[in-house]
Amino acid sequence: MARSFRPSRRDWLGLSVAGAAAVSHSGWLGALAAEANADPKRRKSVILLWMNGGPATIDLWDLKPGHANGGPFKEIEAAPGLKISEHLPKLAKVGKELAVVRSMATREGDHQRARVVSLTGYAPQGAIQFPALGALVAHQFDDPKADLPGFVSVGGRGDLGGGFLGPRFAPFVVGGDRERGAGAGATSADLRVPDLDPPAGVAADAQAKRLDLLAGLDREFAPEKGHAVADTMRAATDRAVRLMRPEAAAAFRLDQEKPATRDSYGRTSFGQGCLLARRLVERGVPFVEVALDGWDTHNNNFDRVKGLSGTLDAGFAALVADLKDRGLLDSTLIVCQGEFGRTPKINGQSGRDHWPATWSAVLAGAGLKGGQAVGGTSADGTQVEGTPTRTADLVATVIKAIGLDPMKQNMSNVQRPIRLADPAGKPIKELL
Amino acid sequence: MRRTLFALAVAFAPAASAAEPPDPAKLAALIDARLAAEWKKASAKPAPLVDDATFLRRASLDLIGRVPTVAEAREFLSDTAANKRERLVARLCDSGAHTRHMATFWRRTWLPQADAPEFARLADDFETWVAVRLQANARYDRVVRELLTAQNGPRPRGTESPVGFFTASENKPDNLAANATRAFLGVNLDCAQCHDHPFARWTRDQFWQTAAFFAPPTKGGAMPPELTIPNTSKTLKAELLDGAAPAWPTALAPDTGRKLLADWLTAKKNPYFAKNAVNRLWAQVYGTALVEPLDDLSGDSGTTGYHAELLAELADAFAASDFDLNYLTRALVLTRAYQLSATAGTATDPRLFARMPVRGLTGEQLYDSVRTAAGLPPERADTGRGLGLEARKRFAAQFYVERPVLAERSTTQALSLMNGRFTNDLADPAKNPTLAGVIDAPFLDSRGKVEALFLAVLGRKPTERELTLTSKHIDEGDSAARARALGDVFWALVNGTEFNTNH
Repeated sequence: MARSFRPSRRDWLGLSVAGAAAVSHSGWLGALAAEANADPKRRKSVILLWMNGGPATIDLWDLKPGHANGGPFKEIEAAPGLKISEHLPKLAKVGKELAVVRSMATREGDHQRARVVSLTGYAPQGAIQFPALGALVAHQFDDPKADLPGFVSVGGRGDLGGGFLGPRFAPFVVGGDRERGAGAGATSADLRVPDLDPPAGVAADAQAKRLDLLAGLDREFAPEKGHAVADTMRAATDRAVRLMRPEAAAAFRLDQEKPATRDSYGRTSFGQGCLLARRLVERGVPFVEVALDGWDTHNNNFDRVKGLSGTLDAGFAALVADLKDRGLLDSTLIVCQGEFGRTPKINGQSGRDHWPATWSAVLAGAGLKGGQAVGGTSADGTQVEGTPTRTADLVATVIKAIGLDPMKQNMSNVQRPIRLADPAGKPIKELL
Repeated sequence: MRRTLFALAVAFAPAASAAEPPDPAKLAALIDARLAAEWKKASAKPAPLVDDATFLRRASLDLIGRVPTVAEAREFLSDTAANKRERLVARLCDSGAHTRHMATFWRRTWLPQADAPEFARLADDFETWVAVRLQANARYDRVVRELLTAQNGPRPRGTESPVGFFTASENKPDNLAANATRAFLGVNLDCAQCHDHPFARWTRDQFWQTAAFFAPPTKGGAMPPELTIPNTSKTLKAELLDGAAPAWPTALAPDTGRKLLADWLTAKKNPYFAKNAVNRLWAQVYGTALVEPLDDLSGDSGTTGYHAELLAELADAFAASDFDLNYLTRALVLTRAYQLSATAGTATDPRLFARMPVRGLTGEQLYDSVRTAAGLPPERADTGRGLGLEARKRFAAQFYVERPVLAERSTTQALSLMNGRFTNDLADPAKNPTLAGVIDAPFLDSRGKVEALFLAVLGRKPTERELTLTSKHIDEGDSAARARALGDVFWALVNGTEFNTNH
């Protein structure tokens, strides 16, 4: 590992001043975005909209109007042959981009286990530390020269990390509360990167001096080659310094967006997270997760789902439209899912309980065939009709859709090779 | 948290045994002889021995979990006794800080689940229990036996217990079997839980037979425990992995199975028990274990692989000492091999141990070391409301390292160390006694001030080049600017690779 971090003082000072004056749209970003659109070989990115708690997809994507299990919501048309909830009107307008997989049938009904299986693509096996899908994608698309992290988690817990790929591929967590027990989904729309700015009371030039000194002194500690640990320390400092540079840090500055754009995504943590995801994907970040919490609706399901639908509708629909406008939708895969669905039968508290046996996931972009529903469920919503789609199938689909081989192997921490997706999984052929 | 425990620096009373206590130096010499033979075979040249400052820092981090204080560094560097390294090892091993550091190590080995948020709440109780047992110089086999036979039930307030081991396994016999064999035998049974693995020596039946020891007796206590393999109609009685017949008493208590399993597992003649402890402690001291991976001692590498013989020799010595951890630890750090440089010499196969590795610091080591460098007590006194300890735990979780020799650092961690409050508070002399002392010292010129900072943070004196580099930085501006600049030097040193690694 070359000792590349030599934050030149001139750069630092110059850039700090530019940062304070706000970087203009037309400059660096404009050039980069244009280049991204024009490049047909552009690496694909994934934006995972994580519906934490297990959403009642029977009230979002696969309604059963007229049946006792259906609840009060009506359907609206999103595309020929595709109807979704009336509380998702903005998404209905971009319905021809959406592929609703109604045949999801999984096994885990416990939040944490289902979350782990959904996000890693594997059921826990002994001591194997399975990385999150985001880490796998970040690892496959790793660019050591990139200023931005490869896996960013917005408002999520960030507890599922690099696994056997190591902390370098663990999610870079933005927003949310890093304290334990806070759960997923920040309530504030102010998505800050912890410790990205110099500490209070340390001016930019003072910070530049410090970094100068650090770079100089660190050159003096020079173990011979072959010390991976020393290299990773330096590389991390290097990445942190590059990220602090204003033009990199600007990726996280939502105040550079027009107020109307920010409004269109919804002024919620989730909505602004979707906007941040677009900014990151635009700059080549391979995997962004945006969490929306609150779907564990054991009681009062319909009021709560209606409210959450508004948040989801604004953020998700604006994201699809914005990516499309910028020519980025074909190279970005959006996946919207939770850890499981909820019981078709409505319980005594107007709620729905955990239900992995039938639920829906939604995919959009990356050239997948949109405007369709894949598979379906019985009239009462309790059975998948036709072939069920398992977690491994969904993960294989995601990996294939972004141009990777699901059968590719990584060496795990127990010295056993592990494929990107569980080999039991088959990509959903209707989508690809 | 019962802080008083750690404040006690109780010297170990020598075992009142008729036999001569085993000599760690002899075992250290055996290790050196075996390694030297391997170097010769491989035509490998060992790295040079480290200087005193490097040795003091390495031994302090390994044995008490923090860098030395300025006073400790000055004292050790000026000591002219020929056996000062041996004396240092003895002093460190007998300290309360060693007990605390090793309690964390064994807790992490036996209860790794407590490093994940889900079971983090179990760490304190378990770690305190380990510390209390180590403080009493309880033998390793006894500690494990007590752990495996712990009673889960009401207990007096203020007493600690290892029941977290059972909680983290959800009290399920199958989880307990997998976790106990990995933690105490270095044997990985997990894959056999669901099927007979083609390459492993353990069968699914053996997995469930082991698990059955954690189940209560059947037929109302009349018959030894048994378990049915899930989704099958196959029911298996508790049987030991080596096929020996467990001696079931006529009267069976709910925990009879656990007791019998613990008897077998901790016996001197168990083929894996002592080896597992030695192998893990070796990895703790030398970075790489004698036999890797750590949890496959029953595989080829553990039985016939490279260093399998040395591991067996050391395990025999450990068992012969009646599982004396203090003896084993001292032996491992009294070798010449432990004194080899990490930064000089050429890279060789790490399994030769012809050069020490550069290791990352655990979150706990980093936290305690930053505080020590700042002249603050590593153990905070303001724990009345749990504040100090909570801060340490939060920091340790954020900088969690599973294997120091494979440590990696994330961007988030680097940002936190550079811009976060913990380190930045310490650039302020009001919160950093080391810095305040250096700034105010009327008898020190710029060079002297820089030298004092280096000694406090890195445990060594600066080189001429480092002096030039830093002097340039601190000799600008008025006295307030110079004071700030010294804070910058502290900040830069604490963020550097040298401080953040054990080398």
